[in-house]
Amino acid sequence: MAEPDIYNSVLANRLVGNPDGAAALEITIQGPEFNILEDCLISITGGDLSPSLGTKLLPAWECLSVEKGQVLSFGKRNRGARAYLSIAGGFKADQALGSQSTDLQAKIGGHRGRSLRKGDLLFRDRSSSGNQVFIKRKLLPEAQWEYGNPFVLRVMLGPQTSCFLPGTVEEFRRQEYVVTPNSNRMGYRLKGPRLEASPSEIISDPVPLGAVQVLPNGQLVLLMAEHQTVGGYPKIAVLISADVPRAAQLCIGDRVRFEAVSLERAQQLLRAQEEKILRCVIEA
Amino acid sequence: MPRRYVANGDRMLLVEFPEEISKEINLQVHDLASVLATKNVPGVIEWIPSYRTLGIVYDPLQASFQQVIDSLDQIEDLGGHIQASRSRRIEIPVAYGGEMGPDLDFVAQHNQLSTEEVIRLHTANEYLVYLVGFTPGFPYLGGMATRIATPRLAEPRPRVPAGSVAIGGNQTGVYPIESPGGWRIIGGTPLKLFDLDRESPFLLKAGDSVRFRSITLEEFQSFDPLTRFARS
Repeated sequence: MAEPDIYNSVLANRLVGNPDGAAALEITIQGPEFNILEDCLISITGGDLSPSLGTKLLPAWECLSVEKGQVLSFGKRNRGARAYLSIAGGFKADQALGSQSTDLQAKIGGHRGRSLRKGDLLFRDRSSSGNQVFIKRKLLPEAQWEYGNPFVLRVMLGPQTSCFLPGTVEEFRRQEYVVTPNSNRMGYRLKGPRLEASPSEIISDPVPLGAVQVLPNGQLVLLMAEHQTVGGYPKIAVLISADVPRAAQLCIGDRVRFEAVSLERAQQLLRAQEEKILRCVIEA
Repeated sequence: MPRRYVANGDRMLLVEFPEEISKEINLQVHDLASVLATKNVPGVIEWIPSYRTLGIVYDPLQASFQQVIDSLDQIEDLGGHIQASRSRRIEIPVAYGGEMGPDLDFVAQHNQLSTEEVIRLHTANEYLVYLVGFTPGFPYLGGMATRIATPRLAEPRPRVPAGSVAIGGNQTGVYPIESPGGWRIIGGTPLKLFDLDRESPFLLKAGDSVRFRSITLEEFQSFDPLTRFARS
């Protein structure tokens, strides 16, 4: 799956009874307006972009029924960057290389491999096993997202530990970084004190989601959902899976700090997050 | 061959072979990948072969780092698994210089060669596809003449057109889709390296042998999209 905020896209799907991988919409910062052409069940999770139905603000984190003729829109961004909109049955989307996710660079998946435009028609994917019976689910508040600024993002140090002096790693853990405008779904450029890597390039090797690369100019790139598969810049750390969804909610100008944890702790935190979702999605 | 296991975050395990670019080491990486493809290793989702490292993505909710290592330690018999698929030879026609290759002059100047000499050297060698990655279908090619090696741009271009043939340090490659890129662009190919409408979307696979052939701009423009699989 290629949603940067997998936590909230999975939640949006579970709230309407979809399988985790059903196609949902990612709405970034500025939301669209939808004319609803058929009664359906929806859910909205993630960043708070003031979703409303007509003039009425909609609650997030729960299954809602909307009717033909109503207008669903998004407005002011209150917190976070990305909201997820799911529909019972899932959205109909293009399949490409085993995924329905949109890759904007390769122009594949989703809706013709691109962002939505005015006038696009979206359909429910009737073939998927949606919530046929009317069961409204909601999420307990304890599993709704916590935001903070500066964000503390937890990482595992490495894998290129030999490229960095202990003092450089110390500096990385102590300093604060700012998300620059030169950021997109591929990665965020972070501005902060210059870090030195030696050598500054490695033999290109696999890069995971959440990798923190150090560029030759000493600045950082945090790789997100549309990241490349291999890269030649040394990685000083990798975001833990449990915190990737939080990074997905960063906006330009937000500040971040990094806190190092062990592999065991990282996997423990991911397990705890999964258990929390299982426990907290309840029938309304 | 010695290998080392390293965590690359909490859901990718790196199998690292000796730190150099060589055919023998790269073969080990692809052999291990091809063995994984025939086995059902619990928790393993996918893998990314690179020069000397295989990145194995696993689901930590299904298998721990150590459990994946234990499974990998049971795979010992390597060698020769993918020899057969290493025999494809593919020719890539390239219109060098001009608007398609804005950096050809720089590459020539940097190496104190004429542009003709750069083209001759670039088309003279046979290249090995060490890996395919970065963007869908991007081939990392080894075997380029060091006489045309050129450092990357200090600041990558935000947009490199699809089909651009480029040099990055001692490597050469082809941009399959429009993407950002810091390599020196010396030409363009009419071949599509990535095309979802094809039965096999990727023109090149790791292990393929590649040769470049110089074509004119007219030949480029008259290239028949139906016969663009110019295989030898």
